[in-house]
Amino acid sequence: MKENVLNKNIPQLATIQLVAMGCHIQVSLNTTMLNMQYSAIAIDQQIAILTSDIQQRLTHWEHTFSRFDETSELMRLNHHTDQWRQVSAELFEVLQRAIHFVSKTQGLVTPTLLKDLWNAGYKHSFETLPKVSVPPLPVISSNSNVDLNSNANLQDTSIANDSKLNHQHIERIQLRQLADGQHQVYLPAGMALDLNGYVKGWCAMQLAEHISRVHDWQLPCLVDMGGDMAIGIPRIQIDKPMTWGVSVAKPYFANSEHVQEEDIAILKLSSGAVATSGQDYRRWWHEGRWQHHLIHPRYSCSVNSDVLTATVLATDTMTAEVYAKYCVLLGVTEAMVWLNKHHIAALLIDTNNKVLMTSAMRPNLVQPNLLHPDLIPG
Amino acid sequence: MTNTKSHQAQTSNTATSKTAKKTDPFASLKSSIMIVSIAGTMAGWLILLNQEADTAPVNTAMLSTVASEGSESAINPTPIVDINQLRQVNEVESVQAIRVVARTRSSQ
Repeated sequence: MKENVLNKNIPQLATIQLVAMGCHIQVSLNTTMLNMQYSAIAIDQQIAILTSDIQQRLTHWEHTFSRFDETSELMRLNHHTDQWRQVSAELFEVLQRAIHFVSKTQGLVTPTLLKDLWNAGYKHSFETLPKVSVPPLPVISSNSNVDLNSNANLQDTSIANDSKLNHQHIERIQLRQLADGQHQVYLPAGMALDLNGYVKGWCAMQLAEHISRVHDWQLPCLVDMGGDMAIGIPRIQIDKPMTWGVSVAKPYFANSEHVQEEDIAILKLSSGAVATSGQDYRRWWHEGRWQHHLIHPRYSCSVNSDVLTATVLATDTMTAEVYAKYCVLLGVTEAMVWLNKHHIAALLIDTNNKVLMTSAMRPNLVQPNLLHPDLIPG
Repeated sequence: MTNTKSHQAQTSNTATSKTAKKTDPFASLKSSIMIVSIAGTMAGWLILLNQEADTAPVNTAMLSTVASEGSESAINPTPIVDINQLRQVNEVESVQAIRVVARTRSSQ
């Protein structure tokens, strides 16, 4: 936990850092008002209690949603298809929202791709997957294009009528709530769910709401779940909402010796959420080729898109997360058309290191000029 | 001579008439009406003031606007703007420093 030096115009922050659910989690708390009312010791004690509370919640959610834990609630549901199963309100809510996004993304972002992920070799936690290949590692530099698999052409990411699109099966999932409040789900035989693409965003929102609206002190906060973020605003605001600075990281390169800490833009956010999805980080070597976690439902394998990363702003983190993934699956041209049509604030980096930004994103930039000289403004 | 007598008689009649005007027989009635009128007005005001005092207290910090939408109506409370806030409009707003607290990137 770190705290800053007092300064009138600089908000006083306390930071909680945790590792859970396979990602780095950071909770930034605005303690400016507390510093005027409580002693440093009292604040530290309260934040220690809050940290413990957050840790417990994350442990509970991990045991609910993990697809690497055979005893998790999700995996127990996956192992009992073709029957009605009682589920927790949390799993019910996330699944309900995930199904809602299937039609919003024309079937490309769907929770029914667990078996395809397994087939691509992502059956265990990412840290344990092989990151070394016999052929040379893909190289990304300012002068060269990204080439995840040199002998594979870009997939056709257009969304024509295709009977193989898994979202058609989504209609076979049934959800119901009984009169006594019990939540039940029916999964058809052969289906297995993966909610990883939704859960981090949902957890970020839950934590932000708890800290800013339920907790005794109702602190303004920013919850970062491995790059997907939610801003918590107390119901009663004495001052105007705090503006949080969030940098957009330069894409991760597999051949780098360490994770790069360079940014290409800085965003200012007072509310809502931001999320980034991409094919640059979660990659592994499997069956003679590079794989990543963004599966195209038509081809049942890692998408070969010309979008390297997509950063999207939205009112909630789950929406931002899903739309960012959707942009990668769509490809640059279709994604930009779709984003501009719906006035969505987004920043894409394509495989030529070109940065593309929607007009709705520009008001959120702290510095209009892109920071990194290696990346070409679009 | 005769004319002179006549003139004296006229003068005598005018003096009698002036004396009659000064002693208005309705004067007391008029003053009674005026007193009753003033008392009535004052009583009316007192009754009105008394009624206002009995009314339930209204929170002056809130105004209510009623907006009709179809068959539904919604009451949106609008807080009155604090005069101190209005005074601040023309003052230079202090710039809040933006702190970069996090980095968004592909899920890690």
